[in-house]
Amino acid sequence: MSTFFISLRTEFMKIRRSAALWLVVIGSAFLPAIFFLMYTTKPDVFVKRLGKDPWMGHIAQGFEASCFFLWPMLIIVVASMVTQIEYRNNTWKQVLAAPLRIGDVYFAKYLVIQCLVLCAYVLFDVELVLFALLAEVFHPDYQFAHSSLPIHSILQMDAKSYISILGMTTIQYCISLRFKNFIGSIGVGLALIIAGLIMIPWDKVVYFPYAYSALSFIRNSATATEFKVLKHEYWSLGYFAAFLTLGYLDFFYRRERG
Amino acid sequence: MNNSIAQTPRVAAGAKNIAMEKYILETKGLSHHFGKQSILTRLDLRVPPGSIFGFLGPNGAGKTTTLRLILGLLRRQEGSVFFSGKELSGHRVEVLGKVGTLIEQPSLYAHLSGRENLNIYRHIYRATASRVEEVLSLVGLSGDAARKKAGRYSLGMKQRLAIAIALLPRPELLILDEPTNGLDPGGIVEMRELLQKLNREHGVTVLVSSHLLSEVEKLVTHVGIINQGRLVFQGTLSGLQTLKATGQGGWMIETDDARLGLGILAPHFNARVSGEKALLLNIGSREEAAAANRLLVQAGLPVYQLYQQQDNLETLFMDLTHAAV
Repeated sequence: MSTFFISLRTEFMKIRRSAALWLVVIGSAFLPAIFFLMYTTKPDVFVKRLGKDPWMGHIAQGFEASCFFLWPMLIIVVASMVTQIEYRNNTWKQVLAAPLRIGDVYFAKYLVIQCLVLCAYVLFDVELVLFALLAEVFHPDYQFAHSSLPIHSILQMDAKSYISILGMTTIQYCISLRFKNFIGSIGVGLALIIAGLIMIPWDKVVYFPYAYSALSFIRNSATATEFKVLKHEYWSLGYFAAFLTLGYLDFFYRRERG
Repeated sequence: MNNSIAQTPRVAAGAKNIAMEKYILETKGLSHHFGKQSILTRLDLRVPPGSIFGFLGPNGAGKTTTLRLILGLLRRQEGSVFFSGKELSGHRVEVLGKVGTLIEQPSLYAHLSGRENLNIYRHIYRATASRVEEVLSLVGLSGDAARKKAGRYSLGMKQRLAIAIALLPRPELLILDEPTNGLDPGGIVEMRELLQKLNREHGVTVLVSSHLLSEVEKLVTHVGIINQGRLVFQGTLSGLQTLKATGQGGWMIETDDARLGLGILAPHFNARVSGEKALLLNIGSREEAAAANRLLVQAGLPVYQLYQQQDNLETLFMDLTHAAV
C-alpha cells in the first residue's frame, strides 16, 4: 500500500469517536429537524404554503438555510476539529517523524475534511426527505408521499453548492493548519463568513470565496434544466487549486513542524 | 571549577575505536539559529550501533533542537544528518521507518484507547497486529489498560504507551527525549531496565537525552555532552571516567568559616571556597587530606566533615557544562 493510502487510513482511524464526526452527524440533521418541528407544530400554515407539489418548496428552504449558514459554519468547525486532533494531543511531532511523506499527511487530512463535508451533504439530503415524510405521518394533509421527489434538482443544488464551498474549504484548511489554538481559526473563519454575507449586494463579491455558498443559492435556479457553472464557481475552483498548492508549500517548507 | 576542561569537544580514548565503525546516526556540522541567536554550533554527533548513547546537557543547551533537527521536525539550516550513512533528506520514509521516537511529552490521541493509538502507528510502520500485543505486554499495558482511553492514563502509563509506539517498528534506533520527565523513581528504574533489555536482547541502539547525568549514568555506554549549543565531550562512558581519573580528586571540608580556612590552606593546597562553610580541595591523596585537616584544627577551626566527593560523574558533568559559562 502506498504511503498516501496508509496515511489516509490512519487519518480516518483518528476521527473515530472524535467530535468532528459527531458534528457532521448532528449538524446535518439540525435543519431537517427544525423543519420537522415547524411542519408538525404549524401544519395549517405550511400545508398551504408548500401546496400540492411540496418538495421544491421544502428543498429550496432547506438549501437556502444550509447555503447561507450551515455549510460555511460546518466547514470552519470541521476543518478546525480535524487539524486540532493533532494540535490538542500534541501529536504533530510523532506524525511528522513517522515514515510518511509530508504531502501524504497534508493531502490525507484534507481528504478527510472533504469526505466529512460530503458525508454531511448526503446525510442532509436524506434527512431532509425523511423528516418531511415523517411530518406527513403526523399530519396527512402534507402531500410529500404523493409527489415525485425532484432528485435531479437536489443533486444539481448539491453539486453547485459543493463547487461553491471548495474554495473556502481549502482556505479554511490552510488557516486551521496554521493556528495552534482552535479559537484562532474559527474566529478568522467566522469573520470571513460575516464579511461575505455583508458583501453579497456588491458586484465584487464574486472574488470573495466565503460568500460563494450563499451566492450559488441566490444566483442559481434550482429548477434549471441545464447545469451551468457560474463565474464565482469558477473562481471557487481556482481558489481551491491555488490554496491547496500554497497550503502544501507552506506545510512543507514550514520552519518548525510539530 | 576545573579550568583544564576546554570548550572544544573532547574525544576520549575509547572513542578512537568508534571512529572506525559505521555510525547508526551521525550529524555533520549541524548548526542552527533562531534569528540572531545561535542555538547549535557545528555539532558532530556520532552514535555507534549497539550503544546506549546519553545525550546530556543542562536545560536549554540545545538537546531538543538537535533531536528535532535529526528527525526533520525543524528545518535544517546548516549541516547534514545521516542514518547508517544515508542522508535524511532524500531518504526520509526509508530512514524513519527504522527509527522509533519519543520527543518531549508523549504524543497520544486522548479520545482513542491505548490499543487504538498503537493501531494507527501499526499501519504507518507496517507492523503486524500481533506486534501491537507484543509491545503492549513489553511495556506492561496489556489487558484492561489497553482498552482504556489514553486520555485517562496516568503520566507513567502515557510514557509507556509512547515507548510502545516507538517500539512498534522494531526500530534499529530509538530516539528518546527526556523519557523520564515526570516519572516517579519507580518509573525511572522501570524505564532504565526496559531500555537496557531492548539494547541487550534486541540490539536496539538508544539515543536518550537527559539533563541529569546521574539519571542515565547507570544506563549509557556512550555519552555526548552539549552545552550552549556546542558538543563539549563525546565518547564512551569509560572515556569520560578516564577524563575524571586524570584530574585531581575533589575533597570537601565543612568548617565554620570557609574564608578563614582558605587563608590557612591556600599556601599549601589548591583550594577554593564552596559556599559559606565549605571548602573544595583538589588533592591527590588521603595523606594530603589528613594534612589539610591537621592544619585547620591546629589553627583552631573545627572540621565537621571531610570527604571525597561522590564517585559519580555529576561533578565532571557540572564542570564540563559550567566551563563554557
